Amino acid sequence: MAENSVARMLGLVVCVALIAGSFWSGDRPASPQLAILALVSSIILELRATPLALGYFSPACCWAVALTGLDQLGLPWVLACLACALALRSAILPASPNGALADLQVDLLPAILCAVAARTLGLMWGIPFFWLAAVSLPRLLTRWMAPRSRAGRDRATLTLEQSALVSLGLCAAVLGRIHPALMLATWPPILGLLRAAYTGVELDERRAQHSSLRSARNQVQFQEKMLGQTEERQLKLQRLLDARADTFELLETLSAQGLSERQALDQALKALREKLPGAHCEFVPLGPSGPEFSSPVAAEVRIGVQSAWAQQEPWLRDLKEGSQAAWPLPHRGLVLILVPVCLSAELKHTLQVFFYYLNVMLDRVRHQESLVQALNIQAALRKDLSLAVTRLQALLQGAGELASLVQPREILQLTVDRAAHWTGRECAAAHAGIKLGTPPPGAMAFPLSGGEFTIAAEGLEEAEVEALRLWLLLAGGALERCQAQAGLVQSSKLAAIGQLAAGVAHELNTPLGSISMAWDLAMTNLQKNPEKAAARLQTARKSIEQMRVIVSKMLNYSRESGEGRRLVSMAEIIQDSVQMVDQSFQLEGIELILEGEDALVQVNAGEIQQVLINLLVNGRLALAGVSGPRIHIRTVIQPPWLEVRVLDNGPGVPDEVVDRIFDPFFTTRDVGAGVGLGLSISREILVAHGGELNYQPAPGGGACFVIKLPICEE
Amino acid sequence: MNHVLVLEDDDSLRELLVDAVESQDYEVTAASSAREALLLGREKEYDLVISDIRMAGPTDGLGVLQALKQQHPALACIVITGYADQTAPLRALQIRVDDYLYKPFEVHDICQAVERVRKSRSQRSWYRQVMSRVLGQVAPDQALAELQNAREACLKSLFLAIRSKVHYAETALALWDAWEELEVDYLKIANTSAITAEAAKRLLDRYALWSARLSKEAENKSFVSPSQRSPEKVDRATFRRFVERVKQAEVSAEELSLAVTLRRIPPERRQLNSELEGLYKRMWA
Repeated sequence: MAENSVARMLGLVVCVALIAGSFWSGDRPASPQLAILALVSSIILELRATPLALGYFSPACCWAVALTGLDQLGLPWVLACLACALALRSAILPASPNGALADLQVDLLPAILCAVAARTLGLMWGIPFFWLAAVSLPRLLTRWMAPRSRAGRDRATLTLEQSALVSLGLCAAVLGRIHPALMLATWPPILGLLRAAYTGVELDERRAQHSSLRSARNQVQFQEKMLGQTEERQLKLQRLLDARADTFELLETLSAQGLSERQALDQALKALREKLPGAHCEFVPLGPSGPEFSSPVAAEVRIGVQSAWAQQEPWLRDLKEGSQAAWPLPHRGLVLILVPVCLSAELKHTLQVFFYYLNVMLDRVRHQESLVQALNIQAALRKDLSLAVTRLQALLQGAGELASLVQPREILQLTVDRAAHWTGRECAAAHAGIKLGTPPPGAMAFPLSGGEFTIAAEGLEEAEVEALRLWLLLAGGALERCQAQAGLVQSSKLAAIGQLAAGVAHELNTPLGSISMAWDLAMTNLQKNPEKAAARLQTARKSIEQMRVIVSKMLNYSRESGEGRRLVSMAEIIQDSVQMVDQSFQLEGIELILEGEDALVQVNAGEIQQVLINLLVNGRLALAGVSGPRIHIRTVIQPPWLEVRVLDNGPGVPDEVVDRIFDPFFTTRDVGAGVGLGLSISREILVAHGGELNYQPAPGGGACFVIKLPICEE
Repeated sequence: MNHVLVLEDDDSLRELLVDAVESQDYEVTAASSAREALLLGREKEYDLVISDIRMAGPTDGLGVLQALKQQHPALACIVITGYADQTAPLRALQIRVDDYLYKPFEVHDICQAVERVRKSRSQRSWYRQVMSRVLGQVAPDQALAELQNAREACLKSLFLAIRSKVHYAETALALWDAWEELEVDYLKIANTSAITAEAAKRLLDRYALWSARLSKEAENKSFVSPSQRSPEKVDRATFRRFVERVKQAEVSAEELSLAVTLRRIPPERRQLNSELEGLYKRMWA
């Protein structure tokens, strides 16, 4: 706590100042033994008595009165002893919930007043003042500084006891005038009184008060921290999205300007320099033997750039003096970036996005350029271009249509139709399992976003080929967009199915019961009373209608995320999830062990169940072939979190994929066996609930997934 | 046992329930709301109430059953529900309903449940006779009858707890282990010709404690750590099968009391009687 360290520093400064002051003023203690006695006694009394007084009454006060009675000691030295004792106390013992600073003030101020009064007024005349300063002042100060602590409301006898303590201090002072060692005779009654004054119910009450105040404060701090973190995360996400949108916009405008490839690249680099002030951005063109630098660069950078080019992957190095990075632009060269500061992870991500779009844009510009060139050549040969140009226009109009399509098959169809119509030749396309047309013999193949487009290209004009390439590039973009969307749609669909399953199952039970009964009754009545059987079937019909209504209602319901959260016990969720997989676990002889505590959580039970089932099914697959397969589900309460650990004794997750298991579409299963969305959706669900999903290797080599959810008190 | 009251707020299901129970030659009255059922219950004494739990109104199905049971403590009740509500089975345990059915069920299930409840009284006396034959008891006396009643009430709540799936399997197993220990003492007491009031009292107290534990476990729904198995305790797989049979209503509440005795008496004694051996096989094999 910052406040505590401030208090400690303050106490230390005051001590040093007072000790230095007492030496400097020449007001030294008469003998070193006496000085040490005063110091040690102050410290011992303070440390011994404070846990009993707990910050509301300081024994320093009464001892200050006692010490000022000694003529052999100067006032600054007495104060220095006091300050030392208090500083040491605040360093060793925990502060009261009012905070260490408040404690120090409450203790120090009355003590100083008492000491000064004793020295200036004399012991006899100072008595009423001691009483006021030592007994009432700390209480007033506490009440003023910590109004919530209720410390001021004590029983009357407590005041009496505190007054008695001050009187004992006076006694000690009188005894001290006879001989300083006699002062110690007052210690047993002082300590006894302190203990008596602060034992029993009141002490317990205060202790309870302390802990509750402290925990309340911790909770508030924790909540603030959490809120801060969530906000920060959201802001970060927003910034990333913004950067993405900015980049996209920038490059779109560049490509619409009709620039040449080189010009477009220059413009993009200019924009990049604006984004990264002080950075050195350079395009490294491709020479016959790899990248060619126009200016000399460090050997490490050269090696890095070459490796980036060889692997066609970005190269990044963070050094103390800044970051060095190189991004390859396929077929063109590399962009070298030297930044004087370290790049943040966020900025790296933005750069990644920037270069991805830059590549896409440059491709587009290049095709446009070569199309224009081809057209120019034809114009120079004085061929009739009007027909080609009108057809080209018609073709490119299709680009708008492409953007509005969402089905890959439709896009592919449009691509083929347009190309065939325009060139008047037979075309075929194949992409991701969809095949349209048959490739004509002797055809020329063009790449189409991972697929292939074939056309009988013989005798095609150069301009036509270029136009075709441009068209295919546009179609490829549309196909890629489609794939990305399909992934999103699929994942949200899967999530929704899980959400629905639990809710619908219960809701549907009543009409399902009706149908099952109606069926039975209709069957029994079929022979002897066909009319009744028909009536029963009619009832079943009604129930089916009822089910339909429920299902449509639930569908509407699940569309709003965040709805449907309620207070449920985690044990219930776990039990429900286990029940759903129990059958298959029994079949494979996997032992399921549930253990731990239970707590209430505010969640969408269906979603959390989905997460658990996901983890259990993953576990089951991982345990294939393991002898004595076993899965533990252990709930641990670690306020304010509830942790559910799903632990298996399988082989665990291999080290090389640990970082990727939560990525969307990552899967270790065979193609077609899993989509690879389970863990990423699970993590999303938990994050949406304000929780976490993490992986850690289990002791003994298995996998352990930890679900963390905030516990709900009420 | 002829008058049955069906309380269900879903129109189709109510109609079908009435039809199904009527086909078993009962006189059935239907109520569509809690209020209606309470009014009907005041007018006439029913032998059995079949009731849904969740319904709109001043009170739900269990509230109605509670009120009706206060008027006629001997009233038999069957609860049907489609919701995995956590508190409902608990309340059903407190009210001491006779059976707990989850929707969806078939005509066969509900008819069986009704039949089981109807026969329960005659079955209970039959099982008591079988038991006294097995144990070689002399004429039943007052203290023994009291013990038997308490014992049967406990086992009935266990039956209901299993039927309403209110416990985790491990909890049910722990409860069963505790019960088998109680059974040893019961057999000891029941075998002596003269039962001391002291011993009977002690066992009654332990029965009360056991059933308090049962409802507490149901309330807390806490996980219990897997208990150690030893040869005299029932092994896990067998017990799971047994619980499954109870859930499927292949073993009735009355048969539970025989089930535990049959497990605790020496096998030779059981094998002497082919009827007992058959019962044992049906419940435990």
